[in-house]
Amino acid sequence: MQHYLEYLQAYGGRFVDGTLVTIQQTLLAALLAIFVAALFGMMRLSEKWLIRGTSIVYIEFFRGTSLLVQLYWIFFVLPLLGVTFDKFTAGFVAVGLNLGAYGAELVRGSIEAVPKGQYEACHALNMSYYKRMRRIILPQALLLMLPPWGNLLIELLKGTALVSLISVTDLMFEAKQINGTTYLSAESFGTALIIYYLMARVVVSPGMRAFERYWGKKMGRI
Amino acid sequence: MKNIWSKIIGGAMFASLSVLTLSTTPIAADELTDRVAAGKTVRIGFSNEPPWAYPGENGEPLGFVHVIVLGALEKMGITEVESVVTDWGGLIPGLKADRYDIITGGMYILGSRCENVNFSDPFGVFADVFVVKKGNPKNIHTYQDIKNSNSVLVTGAGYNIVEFARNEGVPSSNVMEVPGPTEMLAAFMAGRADAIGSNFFAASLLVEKSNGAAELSDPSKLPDWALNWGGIGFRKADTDFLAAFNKAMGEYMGSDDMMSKVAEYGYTKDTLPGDGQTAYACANR
Repeated sequence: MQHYLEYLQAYGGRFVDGTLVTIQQTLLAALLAIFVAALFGMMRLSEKWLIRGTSIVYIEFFRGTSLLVQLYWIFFVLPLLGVTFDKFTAGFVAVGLNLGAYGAELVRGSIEAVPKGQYEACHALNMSYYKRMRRIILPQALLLMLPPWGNLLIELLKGTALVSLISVTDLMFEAKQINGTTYLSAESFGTALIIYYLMARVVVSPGMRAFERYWGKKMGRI
Repeated sequence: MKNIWSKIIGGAMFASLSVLTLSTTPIAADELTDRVAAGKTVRIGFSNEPPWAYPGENGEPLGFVHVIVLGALEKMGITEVESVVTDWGGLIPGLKADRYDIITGGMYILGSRCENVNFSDPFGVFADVFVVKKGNPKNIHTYQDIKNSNSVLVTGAGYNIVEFARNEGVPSSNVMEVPGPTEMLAAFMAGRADAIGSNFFAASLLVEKSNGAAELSDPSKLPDWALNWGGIGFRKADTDFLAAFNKAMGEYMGSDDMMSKVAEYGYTKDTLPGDGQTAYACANR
């Protein structure tokens, strides 16, 4: 224990720097994922085959290929085609686009799960598409999709660990560098493990549960 | 309303398609000289390979390769460099993708690599060696020994050792590739591999870290082609900068300043490349 405390004193600063980068990556990737999921999820439900088709292509491609391969592709291959993102941007863009595809299916599924009676009532009240979506359907869909979104956001947090492989100095990168100089694998990776767990258990999970409760009260369901 | 939307979307898709097709030509890498003339920093790409090239606490470039590279760059008037640390296997792809400007990982000049990058004049001549259990119970000194004793060899992904082992007939299932030195040692210590294949300098460090559980094999028992020259990697297009770098490095190599700075990493007069030529190494390794 004494040994571990000394280790933390020596390297704690670097772990904190790495954690800050991980948090930044997670927030940016989450924003991108939410935007992409909302956009493509709703496009998936369109009656026009072109819009629906585009969304299906996007979802199937980004869900069907591995995040690591997409990350390497954006980092190594796109510059050869003329599109260069710097590594930090490449990182959260890849993670956001990939997990956004999963999110799009969540959005679609929960919109479809809203009871058909709601649509009929809207029709009876002569509501336009936008009014129906904004006032009735989407709020109920949001309540339905929050639990799986919590899952997805934790996946996203862990997915950002892969950006260490394209030299982004996040928590995993720092842990590997420290391990590379000290060879103290148990302490280095153990600390990274604990930090990821704390971020998921203490920040993401309770945050999502709190939002679920708030939204549920708003909908009158709790 | 319906018609407008399909027109807008149709137009957007046509526009993006044309942009994509027009821009899918391989990007001509900017001449590194132009970049330097414009005042931008030279980005050096390396991995975590002590004592060759590795990052310090704040990412500063350490190791004997960096002593030589930074000394040569200083002679060219370049003092600002930016370190980019990545994993070994990603060094050449990263250079080609313009993520950094030169590879200072300390790469051996191999024919397969020469097809993708240009190398500077050699900065040293190096021997490979194996790290084996104390007492060398399987008597491993050459690749043939590894093949005949059906041992598992662990080495880094992208290391020359992988190619050499394959050429010598060691089955691929017995060659374990891991990202770098820490993983190599971990695999060996956990009993997942019987021998570590690496260069003499790195292997000596691994033996130190093993706390007496390992020793080095005899490097003199390996054939001539196991001796390799190390070079600095440049993009194929950056020929002008490479010529200037070779000139500067030629002046710096062997100087008192250099030899005193590389001594702490174990680099001695015997490591100097002598008459070694990059072209020879490309053709014969």
